[in-house]
Amino acid sequence: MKNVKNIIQRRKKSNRKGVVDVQFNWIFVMIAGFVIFIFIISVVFAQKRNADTQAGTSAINQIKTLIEGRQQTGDVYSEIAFPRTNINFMCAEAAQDKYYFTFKIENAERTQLPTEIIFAPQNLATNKIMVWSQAFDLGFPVSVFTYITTADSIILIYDPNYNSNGGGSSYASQIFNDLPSNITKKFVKNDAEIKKYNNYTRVRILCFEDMGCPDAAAYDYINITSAQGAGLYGYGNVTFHKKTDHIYNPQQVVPYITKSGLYGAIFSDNTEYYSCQMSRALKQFEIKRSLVESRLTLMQDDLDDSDCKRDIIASLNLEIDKMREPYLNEENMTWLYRKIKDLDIDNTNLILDSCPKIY
Amino acid sequence: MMTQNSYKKRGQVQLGETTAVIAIVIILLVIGIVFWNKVSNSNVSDIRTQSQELSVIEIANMVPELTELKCYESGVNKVKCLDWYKILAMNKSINDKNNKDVFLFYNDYFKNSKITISVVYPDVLGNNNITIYDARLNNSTKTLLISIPVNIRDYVNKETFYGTIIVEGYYNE
Repeated sequence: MKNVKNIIQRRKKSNRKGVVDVQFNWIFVMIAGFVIFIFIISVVFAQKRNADTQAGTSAINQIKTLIEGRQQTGDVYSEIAFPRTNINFMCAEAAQDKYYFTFKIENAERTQLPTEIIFAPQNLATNKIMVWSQAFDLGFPVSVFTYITTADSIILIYDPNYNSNGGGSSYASQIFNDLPSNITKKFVKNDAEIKKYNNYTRVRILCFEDMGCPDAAAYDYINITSAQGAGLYGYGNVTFHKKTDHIYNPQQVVPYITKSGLYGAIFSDNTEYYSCQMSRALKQFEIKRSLVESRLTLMQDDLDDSDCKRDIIASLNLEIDKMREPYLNEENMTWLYRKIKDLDIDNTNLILDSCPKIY
Repeated sequence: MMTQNSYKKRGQVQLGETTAVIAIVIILLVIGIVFWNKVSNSNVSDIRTQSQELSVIEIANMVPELTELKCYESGVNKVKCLDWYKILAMNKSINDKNNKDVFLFYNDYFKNSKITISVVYPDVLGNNNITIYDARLNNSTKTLLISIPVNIRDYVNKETFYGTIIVEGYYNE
């Protein structure tokens, strides 16, 4: 009897120990499982982060390559489609006369575009950008300006005298015809017509000094004032009017030069962005001007004493040297425009005399 | 009938098995991580080399298209033709020790490369190789060399030469 009691007691003890063993095993397995689970989850998230970074980098490279490709030649229009993305362009003055231009796609790193001059809305949320380019020549090629817009943007050309039979302002028609057909653009005759296009995300209204502009308190617009005798694409001023200003604000007036410069203002959001990009373009102009100066100096040394040599020396001293380091202001742009005209005449004369050209 | 000792042994065997399984799983995980790391590192290195080589090819494509070097006749640029005086002017301006602005501007285009214009035929200019740009990183860099044939036009003496643009891209291994 005593033996039987002992055996039962021992069995009860060992059963309890078995329960502790089994519980311990389960806790052990759960902890190990949790650790493995956390590890796998962290690997998955790391992979996702890498994939996002790679996709961002790839999108940046794709857009950068496409934009750079368009930089080689002027007057090219194309469209770039990609998954819906937020793009931000930023142009700012880092130090005195030192500007930097960057762009950012979604949450990817900001990428520098040190040589590209791009006029675009500063913030875009789109799946397609429309890219147009124009050569920026100031007597010799300086750069190629790139203009970016989207399908949900519209350019409204304000012309109270417009009629579909060909009447209206010649400047308004010139801009309408020169803009690529794929970019959405319309003529509007009055403020009531502007309201029809309220469904567009971005509405850019263009008007001309001599023809009147929409209600200053109701609309933001760009007022173009071309210089007397220079034509629309010569030089002049653009006013980035803001409806919040109500009245004329001289700080919103900036000068433009050439066709590519005027379109730069049309595709920019504000004076700050436009002025920053134009200042960068004028920096590039100074580099190209110094190259032309070096080339003409070397050529005049090698040329025999002839009309060619005299013409080249005259261009060098009267035009190229005087165009040195221009700033974006009305006086400089007027001066620069005159010098460009003189360079064109010099170049024609050199061609007629069978001489090497300035450019 | 089981004794207390045999119960103890059974418990030890079970714990030993579990520990062995966990150890094997951990070893397999470590081997997996090491392998994955090596594969991803080699991928990164491949991508970097590929991107550096592509960058050199881009530079080689860009140089003959630069308006600062191209020949223009009647306002139209000539394909694969460089203006001799533009080459000399660029060489002078980029390598100007007193003014680094031009070098810094072209550094954004040419990056870490060396660009040489070589006159192959005829040998009349005296100076057959002109290095217009050189931004070598350091002595231990690897190079990729691309050579592009071009015509070189001297508008002062009204002569055309045959030459090559040699683009050497420097990059770290």
